[in-house]
Amino acid sequence: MTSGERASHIGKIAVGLALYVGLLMLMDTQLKGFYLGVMILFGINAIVCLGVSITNSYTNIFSLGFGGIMLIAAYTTSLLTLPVRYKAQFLHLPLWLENAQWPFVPALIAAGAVAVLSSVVLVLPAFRLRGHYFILASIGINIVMTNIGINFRAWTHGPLGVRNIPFYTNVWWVYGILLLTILFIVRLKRSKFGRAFVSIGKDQTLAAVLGVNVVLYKIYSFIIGSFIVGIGGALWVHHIGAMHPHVFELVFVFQVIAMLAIGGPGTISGAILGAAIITFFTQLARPVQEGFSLFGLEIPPLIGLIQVLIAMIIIIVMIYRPQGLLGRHEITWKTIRAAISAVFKKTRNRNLKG
Amino acid sequence: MGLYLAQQLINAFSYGSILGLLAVGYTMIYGILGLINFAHGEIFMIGAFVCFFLVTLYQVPWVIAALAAVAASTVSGLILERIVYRPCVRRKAPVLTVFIASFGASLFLRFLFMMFFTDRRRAFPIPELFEKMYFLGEIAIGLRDIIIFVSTIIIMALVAVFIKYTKVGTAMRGVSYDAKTAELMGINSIKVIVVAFAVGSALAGVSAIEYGLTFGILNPGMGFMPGLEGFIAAVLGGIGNVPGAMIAGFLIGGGEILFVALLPPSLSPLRPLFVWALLFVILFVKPTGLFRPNVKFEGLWGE
Amino acid sequence: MLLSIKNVTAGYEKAQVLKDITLDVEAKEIVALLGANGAGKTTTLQCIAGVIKPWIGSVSLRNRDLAPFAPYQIVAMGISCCPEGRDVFANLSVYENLRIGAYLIRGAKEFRARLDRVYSLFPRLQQRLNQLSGSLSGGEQQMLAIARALMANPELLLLDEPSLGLAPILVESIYNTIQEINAAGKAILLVEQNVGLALEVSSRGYVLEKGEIRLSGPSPELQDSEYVKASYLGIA
Repeated sequence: MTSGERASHIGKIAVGLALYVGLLMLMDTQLKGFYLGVMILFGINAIVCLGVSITNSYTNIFSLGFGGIMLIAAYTTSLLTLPVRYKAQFLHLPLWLENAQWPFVPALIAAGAVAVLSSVVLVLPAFRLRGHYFILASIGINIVMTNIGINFRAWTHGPLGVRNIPFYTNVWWVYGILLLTILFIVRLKRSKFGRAFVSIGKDQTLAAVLGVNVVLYKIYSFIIGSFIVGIGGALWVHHIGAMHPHVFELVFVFQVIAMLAIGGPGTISGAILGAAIITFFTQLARPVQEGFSLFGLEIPPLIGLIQVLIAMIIIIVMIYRPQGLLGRHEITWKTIRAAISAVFKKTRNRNLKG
Repeated sequence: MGLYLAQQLINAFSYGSILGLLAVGYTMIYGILGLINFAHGEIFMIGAFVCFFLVTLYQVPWVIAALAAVAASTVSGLILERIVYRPCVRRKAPVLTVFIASFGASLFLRFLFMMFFTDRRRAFPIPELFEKMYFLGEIAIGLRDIIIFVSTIIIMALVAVFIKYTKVGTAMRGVSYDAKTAELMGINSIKVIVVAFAVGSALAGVSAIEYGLTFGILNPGMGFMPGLEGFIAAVLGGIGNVPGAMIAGFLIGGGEILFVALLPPSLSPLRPLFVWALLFVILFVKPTGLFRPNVKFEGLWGE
Repeated sequence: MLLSIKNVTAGYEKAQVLKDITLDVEAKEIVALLGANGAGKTTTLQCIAGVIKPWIGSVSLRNRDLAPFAPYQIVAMGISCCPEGRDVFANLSVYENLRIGAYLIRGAKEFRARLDRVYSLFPRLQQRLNQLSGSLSGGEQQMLAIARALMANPELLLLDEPSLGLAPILVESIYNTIQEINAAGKAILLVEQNVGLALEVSSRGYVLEKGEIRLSGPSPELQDSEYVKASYLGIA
């Protein structure tokens, strides 16, 4: 790159960053509680989706165990940040843990680390398994984790869960981490790692024959994916302020899979788009679920309607557009400019004709 | 202690029957289509609900309601095949896609029922006949348990005969192994798939009745755990291996009950863990299950 | 004319394999389809069996276009396929394989009759009726694959590389059986890499190269052809 190109490149990045920061400031100040919450959830879901996409889409290891991983990460950060008084009253923890009052960032990182550790420990023995067997085992991880959460009352307070988790999460954290994640994945895709992942995803045997250490890179993919997903879980817990063993159950796992499937696996924009669609739909349709009156008709609460609709959408997408809305295409500056110029061409032609 | 154990043994047979039937249904569909019908547990649940509504709302005699329940499960399974799975097969969708669709179908049905009937537990109708008890020494054996076990054995024997000796059954095993070559023999694999779904779903319906009789409750989420355990049994028995699934179903169902019986009561909430622990251990030692699977290639996606 | 392939161009997904081929088979004759690996022989058979459909051109059986029919319907119309690689149902016994081959037959008598005919052609199979076909030797599996295809009582039998991987003695025995089958009135489209053998049993032949028909004619002519001799028979 010439110095001129470099200058304009930095200029573009600076402008982009300024716009992004401006958007965040807008969100933080203008949005009311509910809508702000929706935006935060969207950001968190996007992070989780991106994390899952590394393992599930790029490396093509269809693992459903990330629910359990998120659960253990969420408990980790909870235990490290809950007020000492709460812990003393409701839980039976070893003294060092009970007195622990970690600040946000170390707790986040700890959550990510525990996620990585547990995923390696839990998933590694399952590597011998192929296809459906592996999926089954990964479902098992979820169920086992939930079960431990229910029964290990000394540390988790059983099915009632824990409350009073400090509200550390805000727009800045979520979208900052989201940006970092996106940038990281962009670099990852171009790196040796990324290409190894994709090659394993396309054809394991071929990759092995070409010299890729398949098992090692699968582990890498799990590590990276779990870290991101663990952070997502921790962010979630610090947003809601409470958690219980069922928060990341199979229904949630399915929602994440739905996000990836709708948006298009294998692309960053697909993951984000899917997260957006599902999150906004779920959150904004919630009042409908609770019952409302339409033209004087009392429509009773229909709990579960949202899940029904999402499930239906997923089935339709899988039958008629299995590659997701975006397929294999990333939304980059090129595509945005192309779209804009196409729109301009159309309006120009219309003006010329009419 | 011995008495308690013996009593639990009776329950073990009942739960084993329930899971065995579910497992056979799973493995039939799994073997033939190469896909996990995640919604099988919901087909099970629909059968139970139909029986419940017919008896409580319309005062239908129980036996007729039970038969109608099995029919309802069968029909639901066929509708599911037609609407969700056949389009996927027609479009030669990759396994992952079908898997997600299957997952979606399961949640769709479960939350649909939850929407209309709420998640609260209802009492499954149990005719008085079933509450009769016989006594072997000090052990109480319910007529219900006897009927469940005996009818399950009979049904499984019928299914085994069907699979092994009839033309359609043999065709099913052929399609399960290699659908392309089977087509070259003049077998319309779609018809065979339909038969597999019909039989598998009917078995799920029977299993649901047995479940209702044994546990006495039903709710929209009731199919989730038994379904999953039935699926585990199908996997352990070898994909597409019907006798294997029968045996594995009994092993898991019976084993789970006995496991809980042998544990101190404080540990009994760990019950689901038994099944999963068993699965992990067995898959670790024998990654393709206890018995020989009935498919040509067990791997997926470029493996 | 029994089978007629006219100007067929076909392939898989986006890869074109066959380019404008025309070939036909008369009733009761053996026609050889020859060529090296990858020439498109198996693709041709798949086109006939209905597994893939021609992009251009038509495949007709007794003047009836096969395009709208699925493979299982084409079997019912009188074409039976013995695929390459002896795809027997390894999880089923010999008897069960034959039973599946006779899937379209209604009536125990007809089934019995065909079973007997197959036993007379392949006595070895009758000895191993209840054995799992996965445990048979290569030669026996080949016999089973052919026998299974015969159970459908086809007018036209498609044989894909029956000699592949078999010892010469077995190959001889199989080829004798092929001639017996033909003598009983069935037409055979024989795909083979073993050109010499194929030309000996067949009355006509086609040579396929890179998806195109390079040569065709009566088998004795092909056997004498300089080109065939040089390229396929190793005779300079």
